Amino acid sequence: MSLKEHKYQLLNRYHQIIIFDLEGKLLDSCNSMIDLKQLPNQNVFDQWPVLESVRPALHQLEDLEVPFRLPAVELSLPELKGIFDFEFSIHPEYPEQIVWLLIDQTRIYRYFRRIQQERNMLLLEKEYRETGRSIKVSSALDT
Amino acid sequence: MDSTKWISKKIALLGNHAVGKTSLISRFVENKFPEGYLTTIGLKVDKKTISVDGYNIDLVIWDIAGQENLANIPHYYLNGCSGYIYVVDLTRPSTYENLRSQTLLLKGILPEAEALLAGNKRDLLNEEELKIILEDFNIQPDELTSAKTGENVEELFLQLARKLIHQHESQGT
Repeated sequence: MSLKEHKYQLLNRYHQIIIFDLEGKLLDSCNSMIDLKQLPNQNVFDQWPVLESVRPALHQLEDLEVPFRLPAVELSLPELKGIFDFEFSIHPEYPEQIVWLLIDQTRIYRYFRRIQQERNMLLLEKEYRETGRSIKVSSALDT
Repeated sequence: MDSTKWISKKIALLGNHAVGKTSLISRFVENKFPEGYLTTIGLKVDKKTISVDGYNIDLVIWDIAGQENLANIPHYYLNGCSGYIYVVDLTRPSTYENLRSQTLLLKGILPEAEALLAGNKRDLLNEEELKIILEDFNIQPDELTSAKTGENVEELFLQLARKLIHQHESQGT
């Protein structure tokens, strides 16, 4: 395997590009992580509540000089689980189309979550000690 | 002919870490209580449609990672939010001792949004303890909830939904 192919495979594993119009109609998807064309609803706003609620921002993409980013979105779809960064920009050739870059950052955010979880657990236990409450805090990390 | 109207509203749950925001949503959306604490990283979005007062209302619920200081939340997380629930953990004074400043901050960020205060983890306190906390800290939650037992969770979201409908009707949209 050439270096280029290896790089392509790596990118493919953690990135997906989806194109939809301003009404949310799915136009194209490289389907590297989730096969969107198999989903019953072909409108991304209906399929993804998070997109529905940023719809006004997506309609203003043309006014932005940089892509609109939504970092660390946790997904728990039957077909796709993990923590992803979303990036939206206007299609370079078709301004009525939106390019959605979906980046799987699960490994990185899991690392951050572990650190954050440890910190939060320590703070919780400290506060319960100080207030004299005998409340046990159990962690659901990796269960 | 069905005269039920459909509306969709984005709402957010806010508050310090480990106050039970994710658990409240899980109880409301799936009627489940997650065993053990798992910190939220970034955000998670759920949706539930409820019928209230002649409306079908899609609540698009943003579960935003706990912040001790709301000023640290990226503003675009809150853009377009019609309402929010500020959650405190009744057993932890640190989650409500700065309530006034956080409420003012939120009013500045979301001046038009409907707001509710939820005092969560009600199941961990007896009547006497609860009375002392509410009096000593001068807090008046709109609902005293327990994501664990489900107490007042449905009522909390219904109360916000009713406020959102009122807001919707008064805006004439």
